[in-house]
Amino acid sequence: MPWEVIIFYLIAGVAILSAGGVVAARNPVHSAVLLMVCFIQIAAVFVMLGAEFLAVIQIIVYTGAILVLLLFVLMLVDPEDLPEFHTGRPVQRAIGALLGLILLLEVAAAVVTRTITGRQGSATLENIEAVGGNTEALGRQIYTEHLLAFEIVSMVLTIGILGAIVLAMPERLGVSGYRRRDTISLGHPRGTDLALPATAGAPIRATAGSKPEPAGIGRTLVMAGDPDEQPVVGGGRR
Amino acid sequence: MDLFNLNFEHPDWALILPQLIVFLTAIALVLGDAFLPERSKFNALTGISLVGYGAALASLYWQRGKDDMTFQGSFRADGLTVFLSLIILIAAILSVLVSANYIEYFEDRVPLGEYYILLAFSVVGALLVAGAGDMIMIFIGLELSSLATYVLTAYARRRVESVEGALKYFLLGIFASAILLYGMAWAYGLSGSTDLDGIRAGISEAVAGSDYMEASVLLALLLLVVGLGFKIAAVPFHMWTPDAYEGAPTPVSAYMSVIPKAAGFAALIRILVQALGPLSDDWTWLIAGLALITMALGNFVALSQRNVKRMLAYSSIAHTGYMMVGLAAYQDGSVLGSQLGADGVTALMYYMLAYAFMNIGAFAVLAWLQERGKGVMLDDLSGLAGTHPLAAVSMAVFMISLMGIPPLIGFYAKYYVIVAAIEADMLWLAIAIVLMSALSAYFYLRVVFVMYFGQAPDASTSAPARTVATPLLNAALVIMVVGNLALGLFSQGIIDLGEEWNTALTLASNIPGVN
Repeated sequence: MPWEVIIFYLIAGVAILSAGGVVAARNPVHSAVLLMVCFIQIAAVFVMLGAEFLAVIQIIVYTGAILVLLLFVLMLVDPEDLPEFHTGRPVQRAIGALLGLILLLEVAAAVVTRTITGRQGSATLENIEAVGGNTEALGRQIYTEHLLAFEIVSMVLTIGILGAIVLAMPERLGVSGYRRRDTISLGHPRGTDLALPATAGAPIRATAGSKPEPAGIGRTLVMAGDPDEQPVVGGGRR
Repeated sequence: MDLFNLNFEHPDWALILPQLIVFLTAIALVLGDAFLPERSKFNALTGISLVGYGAALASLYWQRGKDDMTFQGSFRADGLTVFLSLIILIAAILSVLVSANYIEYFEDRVPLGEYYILLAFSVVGALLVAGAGDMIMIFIGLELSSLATYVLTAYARRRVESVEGALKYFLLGIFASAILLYGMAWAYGLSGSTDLDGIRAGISEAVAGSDYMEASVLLALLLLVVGLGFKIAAVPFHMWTPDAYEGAPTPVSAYMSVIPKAAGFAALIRILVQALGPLSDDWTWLIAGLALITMALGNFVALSQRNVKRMLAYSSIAHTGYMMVGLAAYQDGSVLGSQLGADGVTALMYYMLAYAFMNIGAFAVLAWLQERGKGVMLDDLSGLAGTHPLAAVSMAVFMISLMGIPPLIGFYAKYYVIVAAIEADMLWLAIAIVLMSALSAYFYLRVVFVMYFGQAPDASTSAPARTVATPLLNAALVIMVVGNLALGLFSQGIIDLGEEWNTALTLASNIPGVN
């Protein structure tokens, strides 16, 4: 077996194992670190495919930016506030595992029985060499063939920023001096003013004449260790 | 796409004019929100939105009959683009009219400027999907449209339901996007092209002469249908729908029941009909099966809903099922233009247009009532005919139209879909639509019954009725009631326009190097 194949399987094996570890790890920080391992392995696969530009992008964007952001979020959120993983009911978990297994088998069947190889595009190794390398070839593609898509991506990023600002911006019409007191987490409503059940289910009414009072003022914080202890906070079928 | 020659043609901006106008509207809204004085914002921004969408709608007039592509095939201007853009822009105008007063004064006064901006970007995304010429554009357009919609769903961020619905929508949505992208990667791997016509050529070359379906092609097809099935809220990918619709501010529910769905159907038509048309023998059965369970589940669960918004969410799932029948009735390579009605894709698109008028209307009445201090439960509508007769009449029109009673638009929409299904030898599906419509009469007519025969709540115990002026919403209601009454009777012109969609297929033969 040639060395390249052995190295590829080594890299692929580590990538799959670390990806499994991301899902299985109980501590989110461990998940994040394993995700980094996985990303670096994928970058290595890109290098082996001769796509060194994508490998560098993989490291810079995913490992460098996204993962560091993820770790920042984990660092800023109180560990007790982190969402509880692995809490599905046994039936849900069984069905999920079954569906995942079916998908895996489907993909495996598709890969194994595949005879259609597709047409050869123009991005062959020789062509890429001729235009001066990966980065140049990719640049040519993006700025000619996919120019419109490239421009639209900037709109998608704008929407991302705008959406984050809209959702995280302090109330600009609310009572001044009011601040959120705690962090927001997905799993535990503890300490989040968003999850307080006081207005849940009440019809939407603007109180005419009175200033809108921010949620969380004049209400007791509900301390709940388990989400199920909460009274129904919306979404339940009524 | 020759790597050696930079054969870059300058884009033909005239072909992409409606999209460009809406994009410039979005930019104008951003600048207007930043620089206009606070008190003139409401009028100015609403005006900019309406004028922008109106101008884009008018520009469609010059797009009609075009049959060309630009941006190296990324964008296509053909009959399909025109009709889908028409639906999306009409729905956008109605959404602005419905939301203006609501967003400005209710839900704890959420910022209005950002609302319009997000709406405009979402519309741009949907319009780009309508005219997409390759998979990458479809994906990016869908993401642009969906991302803005996720934020809009959470717009009443003080309300737990709104945030919860948005979070469910967001998490499931990005998961579905990943599945869609995986399917696109498979389609690319099998055909060697991201271009829709290139995929069509590659796939038909690959499966030519073989009777059996290769597992890899089937996997690509399944992944694509699952990913897009989420966007149109087909069963079993509908789990997010009730919570998101119920939680979102009512005008946003109206908006997202039409435009993201239209974008999803646009992507489905572009991908299944245009790119995977040669496989239509396989995917019509898949779509037909999904359509059946979608309309069945939507109607059966809607029976037990007391919350009208939630009932409308399930009814929207059911209508997705009816629309999918149109897609299932597609027959590749058949002669278009039937004697009785319309072909499947035209029927689908006509249904979508009708649905915009019916469903935005139903949500608009709820928004109208909420602005007058009422809730969205069935009991809140009790005795409405006595207190607000005009609102009751329009709600009754929308409900009866959703049910499909002639001469309202909902009947014609169902009629064309049923005819298309029969002509495609799917009689069982046509029967299913009729049965399900009969079933749906229960929950639609219950709303009408409660409004006209229910006991009006005692004035002393209920919240004091407030008199608010909502001129834009009233105008929207009038437009939609008239649309429901009139558009069905004049459906032939719309159908003729819709049937021009098949120029999308003839374009493929014009591209050098594809066939």
